[in-house]
Amino acid sequence: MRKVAAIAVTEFVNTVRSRGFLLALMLTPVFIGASAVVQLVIKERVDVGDRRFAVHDPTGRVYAAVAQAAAERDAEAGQRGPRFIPEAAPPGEPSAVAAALSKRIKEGTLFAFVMVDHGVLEGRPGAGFAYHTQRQTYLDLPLWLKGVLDEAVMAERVKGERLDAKSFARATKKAPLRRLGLVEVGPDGKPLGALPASLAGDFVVPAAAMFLLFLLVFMSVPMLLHSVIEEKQLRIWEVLVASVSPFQLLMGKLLGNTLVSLSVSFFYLGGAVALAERFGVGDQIPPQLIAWFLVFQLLALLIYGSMFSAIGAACSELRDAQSLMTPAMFLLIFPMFGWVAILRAPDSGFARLLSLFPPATPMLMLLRIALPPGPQPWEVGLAFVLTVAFTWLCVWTAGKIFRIGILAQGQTPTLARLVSWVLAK
Amino acid sequence: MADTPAARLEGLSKSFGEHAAVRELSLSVPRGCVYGFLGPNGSGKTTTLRLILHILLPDAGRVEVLGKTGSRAANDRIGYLPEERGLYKKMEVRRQLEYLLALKGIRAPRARELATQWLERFGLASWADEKVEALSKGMSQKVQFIAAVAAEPELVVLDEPFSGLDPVNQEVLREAILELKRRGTTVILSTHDMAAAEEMCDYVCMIHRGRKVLDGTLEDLRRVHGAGTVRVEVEGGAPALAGLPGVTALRDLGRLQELRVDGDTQAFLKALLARGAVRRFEEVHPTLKEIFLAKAVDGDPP
Repeated sequence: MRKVAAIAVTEFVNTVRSRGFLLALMLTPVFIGASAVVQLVIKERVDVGDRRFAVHDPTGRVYAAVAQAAAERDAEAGQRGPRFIPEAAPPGEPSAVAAALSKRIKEGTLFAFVMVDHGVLEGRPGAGFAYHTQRQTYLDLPLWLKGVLDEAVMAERVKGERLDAKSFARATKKAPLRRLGLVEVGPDGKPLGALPASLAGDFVVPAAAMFLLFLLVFMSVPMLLHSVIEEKQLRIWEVLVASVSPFQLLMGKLLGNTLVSLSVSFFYLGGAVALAERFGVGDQIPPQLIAWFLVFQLLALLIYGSMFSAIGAACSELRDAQSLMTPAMFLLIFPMFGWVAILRAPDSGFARLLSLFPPATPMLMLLRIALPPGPQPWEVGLAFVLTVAFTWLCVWTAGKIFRIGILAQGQTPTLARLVSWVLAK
Repeated sequence: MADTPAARLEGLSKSFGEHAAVRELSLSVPRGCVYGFLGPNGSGKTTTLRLILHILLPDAGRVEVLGKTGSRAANDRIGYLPEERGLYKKMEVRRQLEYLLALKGIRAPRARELATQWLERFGLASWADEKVEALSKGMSQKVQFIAAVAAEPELVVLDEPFSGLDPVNQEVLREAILELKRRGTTVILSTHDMAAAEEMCDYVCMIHRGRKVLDGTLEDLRRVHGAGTVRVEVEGGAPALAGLPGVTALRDLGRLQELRVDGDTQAFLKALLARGAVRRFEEVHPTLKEIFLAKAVDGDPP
């Protein structure tokens, strides 16, 4: 055990003393934060060009409401981003008008135009609005227009039906829907009321926890592969395996890498908790979530670390490792395919099944634990047991491959050859 | 325990696929000697050394090292300098030595002490805190040698230790190996440099194509494989030697002739003197290289 500890400590010290590690440690949160800031800045500072659009209104009763709404929007305090500038399209045959307006868009004097169908005020089937633009990815204008046009059409219909506009507005006023948690009962048996739904607790924390775990594993395990291949290329492996068994060497490297990754997560988790406290949402990161984070991080690092170490041992050069890395990388990325479905329905059969699949468990069960009210205790227990068993299997298999692979030189082994190494005495 | 040989191999075989690297090899390395393990490139020397260190497991046979069989139990008492050697380029020299000593089970304070002592001995003390990438090739090889011997092992296995070294560093290393022997350490010296082996080794074992072809002390080998070879200078040169009894081979070296004599060389000298004047007569001890070349050719499979 002392030798395993010596290897682990050396791996740890070598990694944390390297300039690349310190840069990655500091720069990763800086890059993530900077990217969020840049997105905001881009949205508010860069996208300031006016959006001029035309409205072809054969009814003659819609455009005025659009123009008024645009004026009100621009006059709103704190309004940022581009102004919406409407203009009335000239009357005429709709297809000819649409062609002329399209030409203006191509010339750059117009951003979009809206064609109001005949019969839209009468509610004729199929009658509505057509929004034309070359920039379909810009959604602010069509979303705003949809609301404004709906309001304008409804107001005109009310007028047409000779209803009292105030009574109609009162009758059709939409009631807000507030999203709340459950009502808790106090020690005196009286209801305490429900807390409002929290974006931080219900979305940001679960998603951030899962992605942070993914990021930490994704950053760590390729370092192991590089380290093993480097030892083969530097031809130091023979001295090492003359002193320790290949399994001790593998375990030492795995533990060293795990120590590095856990240190990074203490740094990041500490920062996240401090930030959450600073913004008054510290209670959204419960201590048991942090504990499960560390447990699943440890298991994920052992699972994927052993896989990548075995691949490194089997290959003599980094480029040879690419083909063997593909299936391991797929397993690592696999949880990313299912996380949105789990976020929407964390108790569905799909979510249960996926989060009990050991290679995906560390990320997906952590996500489910972070999503209130969390999975059943038996699910967490079963997931833990299955993942520990799978971790043991991975480390054992990697040890078998490592034992032979570390001595092998030359051609990269096929998967079949790796299987034969595992089955060898 | 000290009565047992430092290493004993019995019927050892190891194949890689279709290639038999070592075939039914048996040998015994006495304690406290320099044991030359000789053979050309690809003869199976490195594979045998890896079997001794349990880096490889044999297909058949038994390995006993320092009284232990079938496990790595003795590896902490063995120092190893492999033929393919390297160091962590980005690690400082002293820290690297301390790490390799820790893998031999030596605790940190003692490891530091040993590393410092050996670096001073090899004139590398001023480089102790430099990264390995700053060292010259010769200095790196000295550090690798230190890594193999600093743990004060009972058995040191050196695989081609002189390769790549300049004559000055070869001499430094040679002296260090002999010093190990003087301290009672057993040294297995694998090399294809027959001259170096002849100078340093008490025992030699030669293998060729995975099989042992020679094994014993230098004196034994010379006696067994060199007996009956004489060099003579006689009146009349080579033709004058025709028809002499007991001559099985004759090589004309010009002024001298080398003969292989079957039987007592003194009786042969009498017969020679009976024919005429003999200006020179000497029994010849063949070099290791000559013995090996003769055995390697004999040992070639048909």
